[in-house]
Amino acid sequence: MNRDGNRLCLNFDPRTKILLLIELDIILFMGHSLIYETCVLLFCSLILAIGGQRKSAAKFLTVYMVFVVMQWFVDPYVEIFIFSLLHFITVCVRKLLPCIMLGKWLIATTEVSSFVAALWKMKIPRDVIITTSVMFRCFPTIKEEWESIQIAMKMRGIDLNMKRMVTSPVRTMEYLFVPLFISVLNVSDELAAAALCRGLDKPGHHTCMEPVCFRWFDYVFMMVATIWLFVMCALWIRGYAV
Amino acid sequence: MENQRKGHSSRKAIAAGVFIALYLVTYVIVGAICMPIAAIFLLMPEVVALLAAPTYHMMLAKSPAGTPIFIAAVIPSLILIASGHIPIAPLVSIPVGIIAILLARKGDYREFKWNAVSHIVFSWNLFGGFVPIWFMRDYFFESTLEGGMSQEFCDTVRSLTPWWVLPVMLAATALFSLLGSLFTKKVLNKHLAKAGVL
Repeated sequence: MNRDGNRLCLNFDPRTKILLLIELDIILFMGHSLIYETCVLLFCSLILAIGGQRKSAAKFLTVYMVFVVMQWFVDPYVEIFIFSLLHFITVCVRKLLPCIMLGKWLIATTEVSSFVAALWKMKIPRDVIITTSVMFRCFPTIKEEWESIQIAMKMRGIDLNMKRMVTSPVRTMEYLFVPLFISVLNVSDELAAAALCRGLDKPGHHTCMEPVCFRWFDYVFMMVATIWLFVMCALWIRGYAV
Repeated sequence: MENQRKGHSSRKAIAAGVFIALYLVTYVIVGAICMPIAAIFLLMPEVVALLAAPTYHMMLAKSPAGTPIFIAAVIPSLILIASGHIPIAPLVSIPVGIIAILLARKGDYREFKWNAVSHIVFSWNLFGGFVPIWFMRDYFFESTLEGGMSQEFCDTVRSLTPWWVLPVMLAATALFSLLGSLFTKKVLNKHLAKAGVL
């Protein structure tokens, strides 16, 4: 049950979510036919629908159908450049759609604190937990810093482009890395201060507001995905293509 | 005292996380530029080695330990798998990460010389995505074609990759990684020391 008390919506354990993401990623790339891909996608939609994201499950299903139809229309004209580009994009996105769905679901429905609590429970070393959780939160920050650096460079009349990169590589790299490193180091100092305030270094057991444990639906879905993966592996080794 | 020592370690882990994020950004940007064009597709590990060397040295300066090296070596191969590559990339990146750790440990993660050598080995971690071109040739082109790349791309890559290209690529990656390390030592360290962050 999730926090809103919505009875139809199951709150999976973060560990289940990670395992499902990994297993379904592998399962997805083991088969090649359209029917197989559709099965994977339907399973992912089911997970999303009962995992609290009914709207986006419907949205992704619609997107998938649009792509399948679009590919069907584009297919005869792949010789023309625009259509081949379109074909590339539709095929790529369609293939990756289940991964994107599950990834989005994992991020949208998991609080960072319960995710970290799950990692603690998995007995992963402290440094690894801290490093990876900082890493994933840093991408937007780096993007922001980078945009500000570019604005500052423009104000001083330095444009960063391919031409400069080729004509004066050392100077361009210098202009690129020095401000980037210094602002990134500042960010890391601020994060360290925040971590200190939140008691990340507290020795002993850390607690979490939300209960993090496996329930029956966790076991059911993990079983289904794992058995599916084993069956696919067995088929793959025996040389059957699905 | 115990607490203080531990506090120090979380600070280092945070700095490592930030720099690994920076490394991954470099990797993804270079990958996105190089990937669609067959001719520069094979230049990708070299360019990443050059551009990531300063980040690697900075990461080790701020967090002298083996864990960040290992995480940074393995995550790109996980990204490769997640984006539909043949899932053998970790078979290359895990041993490469371990060797890089052992080499860097020889200089206690602080000596520039050993860190540079360790970065050479480390930058081979991206070859997990490339070795199938040679060792699982038919399967690679089949899956690349199915992944949505054009037939033209596959044909160009096929014609560009006789067997001797692999050692040449390894050597070129090592060279570019060394260039990146030299650049770090000669140019960047001066500025960073002046700014008081090193």
